[in-house]
Amino acid sequence: MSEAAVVVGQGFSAAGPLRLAEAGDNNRVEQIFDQLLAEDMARFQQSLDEALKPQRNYLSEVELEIYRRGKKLRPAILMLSARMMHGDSPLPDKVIMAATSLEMLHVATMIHDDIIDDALVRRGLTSVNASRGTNAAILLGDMQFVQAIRTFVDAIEFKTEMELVKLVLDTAFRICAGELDELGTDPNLDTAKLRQRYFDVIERKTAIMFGLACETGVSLVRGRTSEARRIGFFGRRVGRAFQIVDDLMDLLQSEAVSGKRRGMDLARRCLSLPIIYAMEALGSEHLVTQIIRGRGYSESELEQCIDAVTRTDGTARAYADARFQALDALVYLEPFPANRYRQALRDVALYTVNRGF
Amino acid sequence: MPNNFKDPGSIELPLREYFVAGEPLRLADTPDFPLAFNVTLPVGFTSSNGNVGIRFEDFSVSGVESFHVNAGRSVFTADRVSLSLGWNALRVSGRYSVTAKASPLITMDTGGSMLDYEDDEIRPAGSPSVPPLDPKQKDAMLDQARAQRTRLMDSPNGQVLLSKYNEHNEVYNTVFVTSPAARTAWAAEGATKDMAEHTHSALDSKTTAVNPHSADATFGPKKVSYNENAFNQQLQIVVNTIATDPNFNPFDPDAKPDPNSKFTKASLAALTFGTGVSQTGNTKGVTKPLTGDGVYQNVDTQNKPAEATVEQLVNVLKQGTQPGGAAASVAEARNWRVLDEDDRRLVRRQLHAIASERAERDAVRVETLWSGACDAEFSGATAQIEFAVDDNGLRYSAATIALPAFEFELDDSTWNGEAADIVRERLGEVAFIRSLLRERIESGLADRIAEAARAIASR
Repeated sequence: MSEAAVVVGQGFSAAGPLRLAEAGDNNRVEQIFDQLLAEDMARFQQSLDEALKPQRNYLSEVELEIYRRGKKLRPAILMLSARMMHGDSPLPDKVIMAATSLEMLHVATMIHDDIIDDALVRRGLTSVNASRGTNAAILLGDMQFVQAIRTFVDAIEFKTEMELVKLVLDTAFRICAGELDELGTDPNLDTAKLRQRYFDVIERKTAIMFGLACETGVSLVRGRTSEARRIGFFGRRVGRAFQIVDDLMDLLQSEAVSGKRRGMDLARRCLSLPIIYAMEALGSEHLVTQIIRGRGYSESELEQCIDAVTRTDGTARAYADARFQALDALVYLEPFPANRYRQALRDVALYTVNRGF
Repeated sequence: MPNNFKDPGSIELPLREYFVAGEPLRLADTPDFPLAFNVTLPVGFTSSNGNVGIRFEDFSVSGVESFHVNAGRSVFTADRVSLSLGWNALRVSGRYSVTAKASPLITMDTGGSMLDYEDDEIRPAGSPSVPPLDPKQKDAMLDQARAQRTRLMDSPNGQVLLSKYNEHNEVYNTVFVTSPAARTAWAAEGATKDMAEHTHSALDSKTTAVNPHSADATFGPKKVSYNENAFNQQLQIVVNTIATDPNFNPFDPDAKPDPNSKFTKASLAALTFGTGVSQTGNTKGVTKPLTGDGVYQNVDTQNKPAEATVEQLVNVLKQGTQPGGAAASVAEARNWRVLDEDDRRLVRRQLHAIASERAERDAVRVETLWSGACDAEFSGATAQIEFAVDDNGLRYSAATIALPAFEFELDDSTWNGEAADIVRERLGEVAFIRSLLRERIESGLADRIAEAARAIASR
């Protein structure tokens, strides 16, 4: 072994392996929030509190805690995109309000997702539908959607920004379409088609929201159309990578770390990318494929199947796909001005696929 | 069947029979994990530029047979056996390969302006012969483009146009990113850039026609008219987009584009756009000059063009690829665009170019930049094996592996150059790969132990 050995996941040094923190400790995203975006995040929080005021009488601690516990990744990339073009002076209020709107849109989709999945836990807490019942959860989700749009409309200042409202509405529409597509996916399709379908679904379900965040950030600080468009390509790729890794974490991350049971996607027959690859490797007769295609299962069978999926190369293949998306995102970031905000966006893109489990 | 395993000593010896000394536990190879795109490769490789990745192969864990039983952590009761194993030393070894795949450097801003990047960017052979725009010109044009978008938002038709673009922009970008032929055709030897400059000044002047007669202005070294290049571009997008669909073979006379394919939808949107433009009375050969305001008036007031159909798209391809005039006659009868000889040549040229590019891409070899040893050694790994005991004897339940923290080291002594720097940087950040390798070791050990434990239980 050479003196200058590389230690995978722990940095490198010409003088020998660096002893950096374990996976998860070198959380660059947290550093970005705490340092680079400290002032913006404080304003964002204030704006979010304001936006939640009109519905305060209807919200319980469950919903408020969902807002508190969120990673705030979408608002963060919106504000970083804006800052990349705007520089260090205070961001216009409309950027902060747009970030608020996007977070509300995201929370709305999560509440509705949990209803669809009949999920009992969200972000380590009881889900809205579990705590308040399906009817209330539907209405609370709708309320977040509507309030998100109201906040966005309040944010716009120039006529040119009206296009963004259309974009937000188009995005909300496509998110719903993505959810419906996911529900309507025929698990009996061959795995190549299922993979294609998966990418179509995550494009609508996740990627376009990330793209919207980036495009909105650049547009609201009077970035050029071509720049807004280009950063949208960056955002959508980060969103795809984020979703694939999220699906991987469902299988690989322990309950102690994630706060939810491992393998919920398989339990709910969700066609995630690692599961599709595993179906390809295990064949149509395997229990994993049978469960996905509707066969009932016992708890022990489910456990066996989760292990079977992680023992195929499906996880590694899906991870390679996620890395491809994150690296492709960087290509679209490259032409922007080289400043610390662009660097932070690069770090967010790579952090999405670098974090361990 | 009675349970004969009453203490750690009674189970240790039978267990050892299933672990052969010197026979390592083999782990599966990984696929290639991408590390960085558009990296300058060291001299001596097929291409000077490429995408770099890493894969891990021939991984094995040795020393598995050298376990000891932790009697203190083992439990033997009437209904349960929990056996604790430990290892003083386990060694993981394998090989890594840092790989590279040639990738062309793209100088067109395919995600943004559709113009070339800055002047100082590297320009590939065959770049447009027209001098590039200076940054000020480009800035002014891009600012103006924003104003035009605002203007478009003023009418429902304009909003539909923008919305359509947003719907398909990922597909159009894919076409331009994957196909050098699409990029070359779009640039039209500089005519497109010339036209962009002309459009900019025409919109500024308010009175100059955006699409002048060829007697008044021509573009690029081949002196093409505005309409000629514009209609060529529209046809190119239609053809290039459908040709990029990996599931469609345009040379198969029986093949029909899948109406649900995103490539088909984007190709049809471009075809529909062409129909809309034709409603102004303009064609490739007939110029009806329009000022900027005239263009917007048309956008605002014209009837929504009929949505192009898959049949119409197939007709375009047939006009280009099939001899005789049957397809053109159908187009004429249906009031679709009838292609002239240059158009038909364009269709054939683009279809062939994109098919050859696809074959070339498939043939690009993955080269190994560097390979070497990759290993880790650690002590303190443990396994807890659970058995249930009932009237039928011992029944295996589960095995849990706990590995201590350990480092994975790669021999990088032969790496050099820019690619080496970026690979080191990226590997230094990738906690996921480390977690994945660790997970493989854990599950490999768990499976091996489960196999032995099941065999013992069935005795």
